Amino acid sequence: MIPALFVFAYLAIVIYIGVFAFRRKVGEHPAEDYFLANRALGQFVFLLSLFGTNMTAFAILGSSGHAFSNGVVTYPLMASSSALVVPLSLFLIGTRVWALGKRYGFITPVQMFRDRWECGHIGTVIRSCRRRCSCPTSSSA
Amino acid sequence: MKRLLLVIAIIALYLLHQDFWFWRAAAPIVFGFLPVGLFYHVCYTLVISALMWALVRYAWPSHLEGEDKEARTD
Repeated sequence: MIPALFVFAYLAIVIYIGVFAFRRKVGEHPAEDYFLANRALGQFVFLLSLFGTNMTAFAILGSSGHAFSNGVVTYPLMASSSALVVPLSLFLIGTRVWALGKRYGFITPVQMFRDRWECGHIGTVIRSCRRRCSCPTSSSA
Repeated sequence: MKRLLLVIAIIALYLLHQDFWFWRAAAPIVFGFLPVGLFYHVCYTLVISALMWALVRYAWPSHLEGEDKEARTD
């Protein structure tokens, strides 16, 4: 009963946020408003978003299983390597992609690649690659 | 010069992550509860945090923030 209450409370909060967002005035670019919070996320919300993005099924379930089987080496394998790679990627690549997105109005990375290479089919290739990359994650979960 | 130092620091920290020296070592136990390999990577993570602070402080690409939206395609 108590888990169900938590689930319903969570759903109620999600619905409230949806209704609250729906009533807000739509800006000049409604898609950006909806998907990217009008490119105006604050630091704290950005941090939470980043954390949520990285806390995948692999991070939560896969790393727990790996630690159970292999011990503390899971920390250097996942945590300390992520501590270097994730912020460095954001710093070196993410800032440039963010600037390009802001300048040309891209919402997804595929839009950027399509525009850069002037090729509509590149989206299909990227989608296939990403689906292939997500297979080990899904199977580990 | 500042940029060169930061690049060297990034490369050095990347190499320091290739921890084959403590990888299979359980002893010594630091502070009585931390295996030395784990302690090494805890310290490593703290150093990475300092590096990221230095990157943001001294090498932030602030020129990207000022770009206008004139080139937007929509």
